Amino acid sequence: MNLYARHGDLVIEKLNTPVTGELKKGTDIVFAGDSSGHPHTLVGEVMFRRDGRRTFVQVPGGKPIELRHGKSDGHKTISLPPGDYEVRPLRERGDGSDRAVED
Amino acid sequence: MTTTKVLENLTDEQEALLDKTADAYIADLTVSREPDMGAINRWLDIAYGLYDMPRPSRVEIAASPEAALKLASELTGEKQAYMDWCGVGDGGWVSFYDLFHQIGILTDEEATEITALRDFGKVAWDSVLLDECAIVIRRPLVLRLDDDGALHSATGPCIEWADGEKDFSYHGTWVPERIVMAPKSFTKDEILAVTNTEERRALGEIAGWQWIADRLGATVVDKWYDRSRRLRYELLSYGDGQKLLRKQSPELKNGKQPTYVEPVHESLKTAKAARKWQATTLTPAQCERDPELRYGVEA
Repeated sequence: MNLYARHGDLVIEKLNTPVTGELKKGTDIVFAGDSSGHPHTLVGEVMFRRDGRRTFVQVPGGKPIELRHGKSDGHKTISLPPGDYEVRPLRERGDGSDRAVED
Repeated sequence: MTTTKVLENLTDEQEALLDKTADAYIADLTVSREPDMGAINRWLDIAYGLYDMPRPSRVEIAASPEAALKLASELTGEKQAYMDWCGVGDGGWVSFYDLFHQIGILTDEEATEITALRDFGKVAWDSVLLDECAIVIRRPLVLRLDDDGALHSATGPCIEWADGEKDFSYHGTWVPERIVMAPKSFTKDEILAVTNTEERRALGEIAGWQWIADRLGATVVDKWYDRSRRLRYELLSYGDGQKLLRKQSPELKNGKQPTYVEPVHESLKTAKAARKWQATTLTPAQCERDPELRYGVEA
């Protein structure tokens, strides 16, 4: 299995088919990092839809956009070329069920 | 405030001033100062003036954010949970305008307000400005940072306030006092109850990962080394078969590769499959049958 990227506790999967459903326009949307104040931020304008822990993102044509981590010693910036992606947190086990890794 | 002056090129001296100004602001962050009422009142006149209000006759100096919010709650009769975000934290953008003033883009007159805010930030952490009372929080007595400039101390508080309040942070992540001051007081159940992976990292690094493993009664049941990324993974088992994945982080911005430990499904048998299980929605059995997983980028 191949996945596009891991950015700390986030997994980014490139989709072969366009994201479906009602998408919203968003600028600098953030993922995870809520409790520590160190979010992962997709810098720029994208179309997206949240679905539970998963976020479906459409990066528009043109230049790649950057995924940055808001921590001084955090994860290095990676770039996402135009395309469709699913972004989700890594999972861990707790209290007998699965949950998102929290940071 | 408007200005039309533009410098197309910077001289070598002006260029050098960029870093010098940034360094001065960063170095000043950890300096403790007594409140300077002249600087405080100059800024309060401007801040209240922006709302066509005079500076209130009552100006209180609070020793900590806690003390400021307590006083604000008493004065308003409502619980106050937020400060105005006006004080030392403005240095990031104030420094830009300060530099523009230094190189002549802004005149003294144009820089009056920014200079007042700069001087306020040198003595004030933050503020809660009410109609009848301005509450100004003085700078802390001690503020500790790591080499990357993040709030940090592995041996004590990262911030010590004048009224004895203390805050604790580990490489920029707020953590409970006990993780720093009494990490080895954690019981097995208390360690497992820590759900934030950065807090777990703090506890593991301060108490020692081996101490954590010993406290849990955990043993390594499988190891895997990702040669392509040069990352180490270990699957640990404790209790009645509960599992933890101990893993090395890809290189961070500062070049370090800290260890993180995360609970994974109890049915997993190998570290490689556990890594795949974390990233997918596959079952443990599916991950064990085919544990291959390649990332295009890992950061």
